[in-house]
Amino acid sequence: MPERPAEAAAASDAPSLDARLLLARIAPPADYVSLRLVHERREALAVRRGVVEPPALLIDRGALVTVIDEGGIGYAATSDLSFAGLYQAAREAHRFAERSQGRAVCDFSALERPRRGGEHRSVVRERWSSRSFAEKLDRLRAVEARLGGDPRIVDRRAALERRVTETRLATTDGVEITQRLDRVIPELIAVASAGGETQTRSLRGRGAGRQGGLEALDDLGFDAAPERLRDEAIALLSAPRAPTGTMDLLLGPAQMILQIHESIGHPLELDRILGDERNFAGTSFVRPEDFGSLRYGSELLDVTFDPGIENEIASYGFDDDGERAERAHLIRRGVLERGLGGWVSRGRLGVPGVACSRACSWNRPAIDRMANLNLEPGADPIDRLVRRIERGVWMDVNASWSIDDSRRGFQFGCEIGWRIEDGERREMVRDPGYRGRTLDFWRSLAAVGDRASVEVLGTPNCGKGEPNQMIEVGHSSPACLFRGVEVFAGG
Amino acid sequence: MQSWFNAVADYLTELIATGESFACRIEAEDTEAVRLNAGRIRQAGSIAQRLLRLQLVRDGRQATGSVQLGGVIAQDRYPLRLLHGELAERLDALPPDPHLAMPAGTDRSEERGERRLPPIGEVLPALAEVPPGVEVVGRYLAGRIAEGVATSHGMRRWYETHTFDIEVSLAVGGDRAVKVALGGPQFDREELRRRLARAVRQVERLRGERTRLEPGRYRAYIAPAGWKMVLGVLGNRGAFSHRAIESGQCPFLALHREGRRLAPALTLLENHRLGWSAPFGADGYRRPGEQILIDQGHPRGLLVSARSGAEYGVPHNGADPGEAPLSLEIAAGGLAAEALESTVGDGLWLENLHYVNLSDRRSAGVTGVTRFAAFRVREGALAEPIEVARFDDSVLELLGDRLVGLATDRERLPETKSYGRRSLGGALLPGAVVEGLRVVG
Repeated sequence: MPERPAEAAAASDAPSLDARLLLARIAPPADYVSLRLVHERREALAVRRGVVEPPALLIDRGALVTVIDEGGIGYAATSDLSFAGLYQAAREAHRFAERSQGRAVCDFSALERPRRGGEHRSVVRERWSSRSFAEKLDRLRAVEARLGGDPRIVDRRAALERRVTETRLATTDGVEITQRLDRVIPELIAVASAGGETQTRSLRGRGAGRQGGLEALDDLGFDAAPERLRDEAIALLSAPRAPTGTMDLLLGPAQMILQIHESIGHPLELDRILGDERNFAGTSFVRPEDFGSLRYGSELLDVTFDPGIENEIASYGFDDDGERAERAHLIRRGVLERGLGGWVSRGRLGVPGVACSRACSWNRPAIDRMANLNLEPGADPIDRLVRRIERGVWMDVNASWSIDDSRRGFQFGCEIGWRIEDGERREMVRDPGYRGRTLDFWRSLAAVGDRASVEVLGTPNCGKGEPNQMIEVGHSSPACLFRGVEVFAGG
Repeated sequence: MQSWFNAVADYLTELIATGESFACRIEAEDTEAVRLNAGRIRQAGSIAQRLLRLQLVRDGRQATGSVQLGGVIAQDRYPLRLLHGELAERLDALPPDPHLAMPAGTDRSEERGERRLPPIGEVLPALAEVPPGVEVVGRYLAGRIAEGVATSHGMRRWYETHTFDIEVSLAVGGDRAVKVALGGPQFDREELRRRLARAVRQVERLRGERTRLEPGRYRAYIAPAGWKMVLGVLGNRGAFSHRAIESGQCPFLALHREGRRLAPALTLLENHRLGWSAPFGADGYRRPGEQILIDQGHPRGLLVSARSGAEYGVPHNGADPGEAPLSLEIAAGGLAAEALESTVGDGLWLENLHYVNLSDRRSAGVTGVTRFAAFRVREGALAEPIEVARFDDSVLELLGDRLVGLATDRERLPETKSYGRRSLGGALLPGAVVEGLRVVG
């Protein structure tokens, strides 16, 4: 096999390598071979209890070679980006493809593969590098200090993470894709404790991730939030417990994203419906025949897969198997139309899906993921939603989540709530939670907030797959009103 | 690989400037991975990675970073120079870190397991030995895992093991399945056969009509896998963490601050002598062999990381930054396996729990759902399967006044998480019978 000077090969970061040329040189004879080169850079800054935590930098780089041959499929992931390393990986992937021939879940050679290449980049308005390391740290320190100032605040933290992922994909079908995604994930937490009671308030939990640059901080109100979070954490210590019973429930966007994620996103993943995830993440109550007919929610429920929202964390031009991503309705006027499945799952199951084959990094093969999954806004301003409630609770920001294997029933807890009576928001309540059955719950959707109540949010922490993968998923949602929900105080 | 890591450490020692010091850690694996659905291959491949973590210190300031290396020192010098350069630049802008901690010493050690794993081609047929109508779903991961720590002061510690990790479910439709988890350095085909046969017997029972539980309280046997899930969630949320105690976030705060006690039968420890993980932790410190956390119901110890120790002015005990157990052990109890069903009498038999999460910090309240093999017990014997049921209950009570007894037999449960890379560790736990498990729907 040809050799290159070792240091010269390693000196090239993954994005600067030419995936197409490399692929041409390493690809074994097979029905299909792809080379995905990934270079990711993460920087994390944090200040906790007035002390700057050690800043963390990650430079991750590697390649995944996939081979499909005579119906079988195999992959090899390697951090050795020398020509010799990639050549070896391609042979390894081919051996696994051969091993799976006649034993695979389907004839992979027969599936229709993505054929369109291109380029895509995140839109960044305020570049990370436009502020020096010291300036970003000073900003965090100032915000973190304002979370404190009261002896009942026993822990507090302000953090900021930036991720830049550059991917080059080349396939022997002639597809070539270059993509760069910039993400920012801010975090604020205030923990108050007194008399054995502890309460936490945060900047939308772990759900404040955005695509783009530092402009996300202003959009999310990062600098304006500390005193409010601190005061609410303290106020929750002496707040009455949330009421218990069946009543109306108004969910703010920072809880809606979890509700959408767990009870719409995951059950619509085609690999769950196919049973791939039965051993780990779980299965789904949705059956293949439900697409096109199942009444998932009330007429007010419109849910889209939308990879084109500029500042939403899981926007992209192409998925990791090279399929061009486009907006599509998954649920329209309450009726299920399509699932979350990339080219492999669609080919296996024969139902409509979207371009959502995604991998968390170079060291994992792509699987079905939800990317940006959004609930479309309705017509009601938030105050009108409140006025529609005779007796209920307004909850926001997820604190606890649990849902069953098939995604039929859930129990969620929130950081904060307010009792609503006779159309008016009353006192703050602590430890609010609610339970429900997925379809009953979405069918009880009685009103959807207008565009002004929409928040574009996202989390970096969606776990799935074997070996396990943690990936970014985006959700945008308005506030929503549900009727007749089982509400309780945690514990 | 160890000589390559030593070369990396030597190069970093050359690279650092006067006044700088470092600790570094390698996390490497060469893994074969096969994912199955219905006994057929969904994904199969290999993963080779070598992540180097670097802690760079100068004048009481520190910056940390990681870089993925290729495993050939001639190639890896350039990314190491890049990483060092960036971290050194950051040190100029950082204030001194009052909680700075770095492993000291110049000791050198190595612990290396032999490669005794069978070729993947022998394992897959063994996994297929199930009757028609039973589907195997899950994954097989196997190969070398290596961890090493080195410092600019000359410390060199190395740990290398070759392990396999099987986690599969035997399924008979929908969510009706029984899980089998088996792992370690030595693949034992007979042990796998026994585990599969037991799971087949259980899964055949799941084909029957399922009972829907009414909300209420049930006496229940929860198997070791279920307790691993519950204690794993509590551990990750600070149940055994010094930092969580100090910041009021510990779910077992009542044990430490209010005099609450768990059942006298309960002794719980972090036991690295079980040998399932490296003898040094993520920060490079030596892990204590054995550390009692709960002693006959009394809180005895906490996991303290080096950073927490410096922050709160207490000695640390080598715990990882997350201060969560990695090799959790619960002492065996007195309930013989053949007496478990009769001890439950009328109640529930729960092999696994799913999606457990903290629902009430003050009472160590957890909620979750039943998953896989879950049955009614009637008249002291296993009866029909149950529909998925949600529970929400206080662990302080379940393992306190409501603990009926712990099983004599314990099960070794490998850590099966593989986010980023394959995990080491595991748990050695008995099952337990509890009174009045609260089912809420």
